[in-house]
Amino acid sequence: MLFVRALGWLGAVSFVRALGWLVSVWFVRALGRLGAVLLVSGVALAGAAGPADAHAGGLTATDSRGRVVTVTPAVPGLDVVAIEDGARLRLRNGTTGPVTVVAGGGSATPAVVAPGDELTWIDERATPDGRAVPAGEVVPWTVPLDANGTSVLVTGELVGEQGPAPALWWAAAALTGVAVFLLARRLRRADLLLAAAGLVAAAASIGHVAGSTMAVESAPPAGTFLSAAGINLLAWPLLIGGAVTALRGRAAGVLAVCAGAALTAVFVLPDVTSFHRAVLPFAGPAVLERLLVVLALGLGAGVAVAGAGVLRGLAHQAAEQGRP
Amino acid sequence: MTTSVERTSTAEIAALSFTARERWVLLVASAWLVIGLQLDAYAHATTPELETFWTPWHGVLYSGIAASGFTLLWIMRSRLPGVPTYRSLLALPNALRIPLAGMAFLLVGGGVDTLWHNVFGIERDMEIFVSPSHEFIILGMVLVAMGPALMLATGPSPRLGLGGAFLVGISTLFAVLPVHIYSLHASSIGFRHLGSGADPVPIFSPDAQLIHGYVFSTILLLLPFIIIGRRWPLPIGLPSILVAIIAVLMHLMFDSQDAWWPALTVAAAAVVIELVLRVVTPLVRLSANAGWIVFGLVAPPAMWGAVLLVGKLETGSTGFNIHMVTGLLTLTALTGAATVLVARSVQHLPE
Repeated sequence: MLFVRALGWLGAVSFVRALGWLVSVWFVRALGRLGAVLLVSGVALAGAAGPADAHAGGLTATDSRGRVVTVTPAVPGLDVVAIEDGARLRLRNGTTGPVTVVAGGGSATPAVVAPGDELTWIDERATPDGRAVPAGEVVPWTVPLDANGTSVLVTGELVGEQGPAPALWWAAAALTGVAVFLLARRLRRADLLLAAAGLVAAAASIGHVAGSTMAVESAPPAGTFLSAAGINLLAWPLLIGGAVTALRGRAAGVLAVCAGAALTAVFVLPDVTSFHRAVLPFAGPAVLERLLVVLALGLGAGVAVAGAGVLRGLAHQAAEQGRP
Repeated sequence: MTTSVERTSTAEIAALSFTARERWVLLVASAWLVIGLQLDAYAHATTPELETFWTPWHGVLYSGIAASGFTLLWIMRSRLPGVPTYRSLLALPNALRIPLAGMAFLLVGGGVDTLWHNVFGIERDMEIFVSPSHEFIILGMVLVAMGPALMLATGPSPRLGLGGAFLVGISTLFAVLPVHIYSLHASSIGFRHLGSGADPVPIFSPDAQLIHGYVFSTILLLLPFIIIGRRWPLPIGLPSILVAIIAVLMHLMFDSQDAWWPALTVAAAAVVIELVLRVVTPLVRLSANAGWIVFGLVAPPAMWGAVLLVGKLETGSTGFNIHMVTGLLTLTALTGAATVLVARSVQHLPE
């Protein structure tokens, strides 16, 4: 553990020094301390148990929404509900005997829930993930239980919902990227444009991750947020720190913004499924989630591409003024 | 037993050189990254229901990515002009440009991998080894891990000291290990070593696959030494240690429930072959190229012959008949010689 902590500290030192060149001194010092704390505590915490599913709770965009319809026969104290739009089932055993989820629902089954306990699991018989359900159609499902010797059947349904028009959302993302690129070619202070666009991309990315985290009921929010953020934990400091530095007139900040923007565009790619599917793992209107993805993807890609010309122009200006 | 192909002037070498601190920090960071990825892959492979974020493996993996990324930024910092451009990034020395490209492959591969899983589901078994995003991730690991050795190669020193040998050895180990792991389906140091006993052997069969495994493993085990040998005289023990560690790690990861004789035979054979060559080479007057070709011809069949022999002693049969055994050993000898000829003939592109 001491060795791991030492490695974490070493990584943190590299983090601080690299960023020191990219962003202003006060920002670096603050971020350096934060980075050191994050890295060391992150490595330390990694050894402790505290389950949180990877990739924002392991939820994905789907075509349908699931719900429990009936539990037959009704057993006093036995409660089964669908959570996270039907992605998972939650069983509360308030009876005096064990309740068994019968095998057949994937790696989580069979499972035995002791009296007074609770189980949250993904059951392949009930989850909408990976199931194609046309809009307006209802697909029934059943999950068998054994409640202390009594056979119980949980029945539910997946209700297909109308998906978006993918072409429109893809076009919006493409137009956003192209707009940044064209504006950067026409504006005299394109570095400021890239800094501003980078900040908006960072805000969109943070909003998207936060909304995805809040949609998860089955895991603690802190770990879920971190797992959903992933490499964005590197991209956001680059975007924000780089933008601050660029706004202060230092060209190195623009390069940091471009690097962060490229990472943001790449790491929002898994969520372009929101352009194609109806039910999104997001705590808010689906249209807002799609807008956030459009901004993160379009602005991220646009800034990364436009950065080449903008930095070339800044270097040319510096050369004309006799600066290295 | 070396012929350097470096054509760089002393002044250029000075400009391209990296400090020992930069090399060692990148070595630690890249080793951290590769170990994290391998631990995570191993944990997921052996514990299918492992779907939690707060695992030690994720901790090592994510912190390793951060450490490698920011180490590369730190090394890049002093080598960029006041107003950095994309062109100035592309103009960085190869020893830095290659690991940076590796980091890009790794990050893009990671993003695309998640998208792939969301759209097409999670790959299983052989699908894992042909997934495009996984290939990007492996390529990224390899390129990042070879950074420290490349950085040392830009220096002027004609020989590797103890520290240099250690650095190059570790860097090479972490660069080639992911490729050995990712080519498990075509490897003779994974979980298959002997034939099935089928006679005759069907053309498309596990036995035929194992023959290709011997060929591929021969190339993969030889290539690092040939490339290192183009730049420096090979330090004593480096080849056998690298082969032994890779063989033992592969067995540990994929075949630890079975007998250890295949991995231990490969390790022992590597030591004996190097010892014999070190003793015999000074007694025979050969040019460097001829010496390497002889090495390529002799070492592979000696090693795989030892594996087949011990296999016969341990299990009673090699699982192959005389046609297959002799043909296999001849094929590995020709593969070794061809690998030497190709790897030592590659020259710098004209500027």
